[in-house]
Amino acid sequence: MKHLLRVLLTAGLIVPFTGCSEVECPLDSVVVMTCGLRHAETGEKLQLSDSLSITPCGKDTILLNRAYGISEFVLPLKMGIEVDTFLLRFSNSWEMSATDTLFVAHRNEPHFESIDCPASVFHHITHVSWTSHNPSVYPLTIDSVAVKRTLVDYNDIENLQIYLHTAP
Amino acid sequence: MTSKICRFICTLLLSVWCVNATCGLNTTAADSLTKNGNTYTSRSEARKALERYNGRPLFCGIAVGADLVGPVMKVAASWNQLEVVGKINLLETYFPVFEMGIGESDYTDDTSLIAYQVKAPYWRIGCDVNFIKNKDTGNRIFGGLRYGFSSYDYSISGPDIIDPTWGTAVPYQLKDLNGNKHWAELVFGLEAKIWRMIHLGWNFRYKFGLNEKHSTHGKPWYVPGYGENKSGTIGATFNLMFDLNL
Repeated sequence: MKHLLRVLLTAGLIVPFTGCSEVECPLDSVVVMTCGLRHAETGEKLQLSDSLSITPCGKDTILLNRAYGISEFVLPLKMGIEVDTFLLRFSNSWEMSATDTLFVAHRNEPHFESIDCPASVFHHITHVSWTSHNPSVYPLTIDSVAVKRTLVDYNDIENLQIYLHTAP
Repeated sequence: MTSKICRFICTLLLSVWCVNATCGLNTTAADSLTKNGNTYTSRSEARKALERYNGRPLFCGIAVGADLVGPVMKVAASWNQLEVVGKINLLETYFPVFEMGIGESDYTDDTSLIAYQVKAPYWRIGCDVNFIKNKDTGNRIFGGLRYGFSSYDYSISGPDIIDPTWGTAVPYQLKDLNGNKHWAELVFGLEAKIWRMIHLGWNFRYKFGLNEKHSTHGKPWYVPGYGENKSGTIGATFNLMFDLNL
């Protein structure tokens, strides 16, 4: 018994200094706002037959370039400023096009996941507004926008539902 | 001559009475247990035998001690703790325990360059049960439970975050975030009698959270007294204990 206790005591001295470490960072560590497209008339998911390009207002950057057949897209929000303005340009193969504007107001919150994960900024959507063009110019336009989830984080869960009106 | 004999007999009788009076315990133990053929060489051995015979007292003393691993971790790990322990010895079987300490972390990760700082007190309360059969050896094998709590302020800082779309730098400084945590621990440990009242022993603990409050900026990475803030974690202490038989 004494011998056993001696062995176990020694083991107890050594074991606390051994161990393994693991990194538990999320696999998808990109913080983006997920937007889903819906039919304004039926509310069902809409698969775009036209092309859609999105650029941020004030910067010559293309966030979405002539995307076809999509029903969902993601947009990054500014980390330092609390309003984003996106220009949504619809176009078709007949070289017709029109642009709507989407305004997203949000609160930014620096986020800490773990000591070994990169730092990030989460967003809380506080308000959304938009502009629509005349359907006679182009038959596809934003009808309304609903906020489904205010928190914008790593999860690819739909934040906005953009209802599009399609003229016959 | 007669008076000398009388004086000698009186002295002898008086001596025998004194020995019986002062060593009554020894004699009682020896007398009562001699029937089983046991003999005892010392008074303390006889006392223990008598205790066994009469049954152990409920209150067998208290023990105080400190964790020796915690301070060593200051140089070897990303966090450390200073912890003292107090135990009440009941029947050499049940040990109500109170542990308190200060947990500290001031660590910067080499890869992410994020720095985490916290320093706060914590405490645990619980009970150990000594499972060893022969309790007279002074060695103990424990199983036990703990409830722990800590309330703390933590700070996180790191290099500015660069917005990938706009290229702007966003400062990453989160100061004095507040949090608290309640947790439970399952404990298994050993304690060996090293010399007289000195015991040395270790114990392993499986810790799991019961309730937690923290800042919306994110979960704390290290909680004083709990360790790395996962849903379940393993901890260990190596205790130097002093048994005080009051």
